[in-house]
Amino acid sequence: MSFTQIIINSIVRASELALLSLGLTIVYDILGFANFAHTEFAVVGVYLALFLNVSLGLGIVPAAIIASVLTGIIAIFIDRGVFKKMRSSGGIIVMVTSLGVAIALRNTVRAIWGASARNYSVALEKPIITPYFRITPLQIWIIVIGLAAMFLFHLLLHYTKLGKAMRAVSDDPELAQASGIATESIITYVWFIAIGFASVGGILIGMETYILPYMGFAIIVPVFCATIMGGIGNPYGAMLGALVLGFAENFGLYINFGQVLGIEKIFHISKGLFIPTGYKPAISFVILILVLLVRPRGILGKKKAG
Amino acid sequence: MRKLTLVCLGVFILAGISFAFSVQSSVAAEPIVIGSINPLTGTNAVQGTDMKRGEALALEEINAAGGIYGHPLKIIWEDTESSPRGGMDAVHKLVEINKVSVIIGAYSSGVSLPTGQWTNSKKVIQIAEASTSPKLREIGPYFFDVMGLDEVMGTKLAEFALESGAQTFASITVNNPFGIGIEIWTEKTVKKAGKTWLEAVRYDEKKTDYRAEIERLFAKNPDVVFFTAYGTESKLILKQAHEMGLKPAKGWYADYMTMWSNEVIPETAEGIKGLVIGTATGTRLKEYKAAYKNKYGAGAKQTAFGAYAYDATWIAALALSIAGKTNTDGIAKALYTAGGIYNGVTGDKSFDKDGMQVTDYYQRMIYTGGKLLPYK
Repeated sequence: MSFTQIIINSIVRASELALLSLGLTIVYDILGFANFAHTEFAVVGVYLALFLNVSLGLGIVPAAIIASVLTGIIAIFIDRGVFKKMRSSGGIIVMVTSLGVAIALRNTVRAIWGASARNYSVALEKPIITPYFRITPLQIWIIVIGLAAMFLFHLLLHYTKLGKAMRAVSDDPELAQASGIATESIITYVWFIAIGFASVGGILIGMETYILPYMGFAIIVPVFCATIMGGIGNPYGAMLGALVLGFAENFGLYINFGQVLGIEKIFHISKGLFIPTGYKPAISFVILILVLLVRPRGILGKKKAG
Repeated sequence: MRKLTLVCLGVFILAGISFAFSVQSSVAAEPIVIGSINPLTGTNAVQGTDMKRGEALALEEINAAGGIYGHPLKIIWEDTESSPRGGMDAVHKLVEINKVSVIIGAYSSGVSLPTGQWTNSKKVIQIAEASTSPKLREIGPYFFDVMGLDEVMGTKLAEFALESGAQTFASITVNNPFGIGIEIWTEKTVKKAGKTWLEAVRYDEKKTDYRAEIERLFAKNPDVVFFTAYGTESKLILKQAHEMGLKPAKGWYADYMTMWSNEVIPETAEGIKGLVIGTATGTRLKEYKAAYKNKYGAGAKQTAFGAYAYDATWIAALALSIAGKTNTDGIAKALYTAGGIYNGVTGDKSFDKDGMQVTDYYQRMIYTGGKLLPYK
């Protein structure tokens, strides 16, 4: 596989992860807990889009938009019904509650849509093949949407009243409330934006692969790795973490360790010494540990005021 | 069917007479209970559902023919959830709570190996229905299998692919005893023929992305790729390979094609050649298919494995009739006789000294236009 192809694969993977890790990190930043239900919310969006696309016959783009909006609203309801009551109990209690919500969401999806693999009603992708790399139109869209989401989020954070209020709540919730910022209202927006992004990310992954009730569980480890690596609570850190992880996973698989370590001739390794593909998720952990050893708060992590 | 029914009736009558002499006070209506473990949910649910239907069909016929020395046969079905852990939960329940002496199933060597080792340690008979790892041979005297092992399938599949004139070969197989068995035997056969083996990729089940595995598989451009995958994973692997524009020059060659033929996106699997297990002709198969259609309707998804489950149920019933008791040593001994006299839907079902099949039958097929057709 060419060097260019590895870069393309890495960017596609980073874009998918970024959409999911962005929401996870802003929920942590504003609400102060690691939301283990984050990727399961994404799966709810994936299946709502499936329902709209396959059962109601909507095009995939309107189906994805409507499903993401609906999933954001569902997240707000779950926050009001479950997380809000736990907020004063501390981060650990809310985190454990999110585990319960994750299991409930996964099994609800499974009960409604079944355990079998499904696909959206979209045509199979035809790759664009060049001498240096191949890429599908959907993968181009994944990169474009990933970049656009990051840019929009940057604009939201720095050039809107909501963004400024979000940053104020993140820095000091009590001071923000004393200054007249409606904290609960900001939390509502945060849930909607975070889960909306996650839903879009999930739908894109579903389009590129297939749709299964356990797909949220399958993606949660790299999403958490990217978020923590970048510095949990920092949206730019989440984007950077996703990028580092995307590149690490893809490059890690194509390093010939026999050649790098100079042991090919000693041990008569003729086919090269590569990491088996099944260990791809382990690369995430190794990189995470290495980063945290050097920067315990993550790449862009910083101490919170107070 | 008539021939089989006569043979079975004869065995039942003889067994019934001998049992009547030995046990004077049997309760006629009390059923003989056996267990079944199949993947009714999860990755292999399509095959598991078909297997349950095959067993239920056999059960109906057995009880219509008089049951087992006058007692009706009853099956307790448990779901393995397509996983070894689910399989272990199922056999624990069947043995410790339901106290069964015979269990039929499972699908996949990855499930049959741990469950078989445990049931064997408890002296409970287990008859695997769709498991093919050569490691099954080592389990012990209470473990049987009604399907030929991978050593036969792997060799025959490689021989088929070698006829294409390909020079370089690679494989992508599921990372469990079944997949590794196929990998080992195809590689062995290819190397024996003096051809080049480039890469053996093993993938884990239940992943949501196989691009890394596919990239690795095609990195050295093999002429032929041997492919083995359960339904759900095959759907994604073939879709991703298709969308990545990657295809071996001389094609994919797959084992047990009905594991995935009902689930893949047809365009992605077009032209895959390979083998299906079981006889493709014969009156027994025709009768089975007709009875199946009659009971479940034309729309019910059939795989090759339902017929093996059907045969396993009949063999278990025959052995129970011959043994005349539920002592597992006696049933194990009777299974060798039952396998020898039973004329199976899937062919001869004789067991070798390890309780494995002496032979099995494979048909060359090609997947085209969304269907499996005989390869000519």
